[in-house]
Formats: sequence, C-alpha cells, structure tokens
Amino acid sequence: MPPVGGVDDYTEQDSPQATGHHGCPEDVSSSSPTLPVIASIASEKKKQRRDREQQPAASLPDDIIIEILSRVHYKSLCRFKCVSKQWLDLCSGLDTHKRSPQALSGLYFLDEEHQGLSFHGLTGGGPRLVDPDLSFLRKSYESLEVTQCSSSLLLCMCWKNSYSPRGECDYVVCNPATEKWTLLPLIECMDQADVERYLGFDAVKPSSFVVVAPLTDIYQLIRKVAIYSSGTERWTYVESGWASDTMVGDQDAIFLNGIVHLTTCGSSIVTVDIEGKIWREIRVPHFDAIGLSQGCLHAWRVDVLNGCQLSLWVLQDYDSENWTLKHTVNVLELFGSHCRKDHESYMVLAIHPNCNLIFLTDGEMTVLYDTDNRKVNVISSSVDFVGCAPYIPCFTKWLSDGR
Amino acid sequence: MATREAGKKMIMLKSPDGMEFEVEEAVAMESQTIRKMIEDDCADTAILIPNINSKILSRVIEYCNKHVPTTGATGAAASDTVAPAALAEDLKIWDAEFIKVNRATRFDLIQAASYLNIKGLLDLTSQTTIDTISDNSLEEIRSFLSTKNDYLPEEEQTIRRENQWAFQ
Repeated sequence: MPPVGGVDDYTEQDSPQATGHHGCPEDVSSSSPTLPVIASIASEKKKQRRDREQQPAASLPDDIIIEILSRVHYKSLCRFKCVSKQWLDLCSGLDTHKRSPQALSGLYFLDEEHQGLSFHGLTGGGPRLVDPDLSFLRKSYESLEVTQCSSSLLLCMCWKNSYSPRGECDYVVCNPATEKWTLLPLIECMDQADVERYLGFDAVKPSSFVVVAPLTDIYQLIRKVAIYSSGTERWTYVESGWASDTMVGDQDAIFLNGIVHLTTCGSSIVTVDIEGKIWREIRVPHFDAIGLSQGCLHAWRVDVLNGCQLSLWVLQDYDSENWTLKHTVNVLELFGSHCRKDHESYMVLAIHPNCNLIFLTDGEMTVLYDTDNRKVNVISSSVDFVGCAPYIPCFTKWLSDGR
Repeated sequence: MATREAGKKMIMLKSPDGMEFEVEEAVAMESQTIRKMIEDDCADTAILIPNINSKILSRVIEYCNKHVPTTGATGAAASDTVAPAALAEDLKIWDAEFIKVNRATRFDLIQAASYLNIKGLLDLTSQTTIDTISDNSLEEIRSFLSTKNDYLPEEEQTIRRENQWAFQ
C-alpha cells in the first residue's frame, strides 16, 4: 500500500489532538516507505505543494475508488463510466459484482406529501444502486404511484395520461434495479379498482414473483382468489379455501417457500400456495403486524397501554403454530422517555430481512434497533416512515423478462 | 504491556514519523486490523502503523475514541441517563463536524480507514465523497479525484451515447 498522505504532511504545523509524544524516529526509519525521487520533476512537485488545495491531490488507489463506487446509485455508476477508461473498468467490474444479493439500501414509505410510497435511501447502510424515481417507467406513463414494496419489487398503479380517471390505470410490477417491468393483465371482475392486489417476492427465488387478489361478493365475503405468477404470466381463478368469514388485513403479503401469507383482521395469517391448492390459517399471538426476517415469519406487538413493552415472536417450526418469544424490550427506554405522552405513537415499522434489526418510531424519530446488542441507531429525526417496507436491490431477471 | 487507570489495558500506536499514541485497547480495537493483531498476540509492546502519518493517525484515534461503545464503566454516570437514541443522534452530529476537513485530509482518512479496517469511518468518509461528487459534472469529478480523461474524443462520444440516460 502506498503511504497515506504526501511527505509534505509531515512538515505541517498541525499539532495532533491525541496525546502524542515523540518517540525514537530511528525505530521506524527502516520501515518507513521510501519515495522514488525523480530530479526533473522535483521542482515541479515543489510548486504543486505551495497551493495543494488548488492542485489535485495524489489520486486514490483503485481499491479505494472501488470502495467509494460500491456505494453509488446505479444511475451514477453508469455516468461515472464516462470519467475515464480506468473508471469504466472499475464501474463495469462493480456492475457484475452487484448482480449478487444485496444489502438493504433503503425504505419505501407512505409519504404524506406525495401519493403512494416514496423512497428513502439509508446512507452508510449499504450501497445505493438504483433510481428511486423510476424514470424508466415514466417513459411509458405520465403518472404513477408505488403502492407496495415487496423486498426488491414494486407494485405500481400507472396512468398513461395524468388526466386519466383514477380507476383507469395499469397495474405494473417493476424491479427498480434492473429497470424491467411487467404489465399485469386485467382481472375478470366488475371493477378493477375495487380489487386489492398483493405482491409477493421471495429473495431466495428471485427469478419469480406472485400477485394474489381476493375477490369478494356483494357481502364482502371472499369467494374466489385470483393468483398471478410470473411463470405463467396469467391470472388463475380458484375457489377460496379459507374460512368463509375471512377478512384480509391491509398489510403487505409475505411470499415464503412458494406460499403467500396475508394477515387477517383477526389474530391470524391465511396462506395459499401459488397453484391455489393448499389453504391454511396460522394462529398468531396478539400482534400488530408480521414480517419476514432470515427466512422465518416474525410477529410483533408494542403494548402501548402496558408500559410500551415490545414483544417479538418468531415461527421457527413452520408446520407447528408454536410462536417463540424471541425478544422483549421497553420502547420508552430506547427513546429516553419515562412515560408515553399523548402525541407519541411508538410502533415497529418493519423488520430487517437479513439481520436482527427492527425499525422503530416514536412518531417523530425513526431508529434502527439491534436486538442482539440492544444498540440504537438513528435513521431520521424528521421523517415519519409510516407503512414502510425495507427495499433490497436485486439484479436477477425474472423468468418472463417483461420489457 | 502498559496498563493504567483501574486496570484498563493500554496500547501504544506508532506512526512512521516517530509519534507515539497511547490509547485504550478497546479504542484501538475499533480497527479490525489492530484487533486481529492483538488477538493473535502480535502486539506486545507497541504497534507500528506504517503508511499513516501522525496527523491522520491522531484524527483516526479521535474518531475511535468517540465511537468506542460506552458499555462497561467507561462513560461513568453519563451513559446511564442518556438514551441510546439521543446518544446515536449526538454521534451523527459529531460525525458531520468531524468530516468537515479539506479534500487531501479526507482522502488520507479514507485510505487509513480502509487499511485499518474501521467500517464506520470508511462508511462516513466514502459516503461524504459520494455526496460531494454525485451532482458534479464529469470534468469536476476528474479534477476532484485527480483522474485523467484518457478517452479519445470519439471513444468518449460512444461511451457518452451508451450511457446517455444516466445524464438525464
């Protein structure tokens, strides 16, 4: 590794802030890196030193540039290819590297100022690689609204013209990382806008996705379920195998091992496989919401009336209904409060898909809480990430390649 | 090994320009490179940090001092009353001040963070650099990072055309 800092740094008069004192320079002289001196450019170098702020500093080694570029959003990466041939090589190398599974890069959340979900990048938490504005979709649609984020894919309502009636929209599933998208066909029903569509994506099998849509009769009872899979590229309609009074909740679907999980308005989860053959209801202890982390279903609850205790359960043995209490913590302590004030609404926003991390809010500040070491990291002290879903870029193309 | 203050283990770090810094072992171990040396018992008396001059090393130590976890009795009474969220927020503000340095120092810090394997410092310095250059023109990026444009005019035209969408 080349020396960090030019030789001229040594002569600067800044005194170190740590309690440094001089040792014996002889100790180290033998191991100090020696710099090649070329007589003809020596005077040139001197000139440069005089005003080093105006002159470019020594350029960074490739591994450091890669370190920096690995945090760049995909669009910027493509722009940076134009900087030089060296950068083209470095950026192209990263391109292929980034087709492997990614770390969490941000959150999609319900933004009060905009319709639908907005993106918030998590700086320092991993590379930001994609264009969160979905400009690739805006070439075909004048107006769009992200309605769901399922790990790496988004479900969007898209309008060809911004003056189109709200009901006349296309439903599109897109991958912001590969910029590919698929138009979902119409569902055979009276009113397209009346049907709730739930997107399911499993990071373990990134080449496919599923969308399910419970179809209700005039009494709001679920009679049929429409299931779309990226493999067949069409909707199949099956008689519902759930209890006749099942009411599906408004939480996003979880797709795990080929099975779609939806929360109900009661204390349970209803499931169906992509062929519509296996139907099941899983009982859950009193919970606020469910999430997927490290391949297991998790459920959580913040008991606001009872000292704001957070409980997190995990379903380790999928076939049983035995939920294990995995973690408890007093949320008030994490936010440094003694008691809950009326305007504060403590809640779990989401669970990290790959780590023991929980997104928590008190209504103003959003933090990431590590259940392993009980440490807290502030994500934002101003933005309220209500309804947020963690977003992980995925560069795998799904089977039917979309557009 | 030098010990001081209620049995806290101290480590001596030496920069190649002959400066010595006595730091708590826990602080030094924020660097995964140093942690490995200590764990492998390669750090009996003092550790020479090649390639990192005293000015940069002192800044790195300053960062590690601030970021070393305050569990244990290090922070005395203070850590009992301050909520983790407030502590993290305070750290974020401190980081923002810490990284207000000139370009040369920042580049030196990135390289030091990479060599010493200090993830937090590497994240901080790299992200700040990205934030600086992401809205810049190609010419500004080249000048900021001292990279020469080695494209022939026609080559540059081709690569620009291929990636035109990224400039919109």
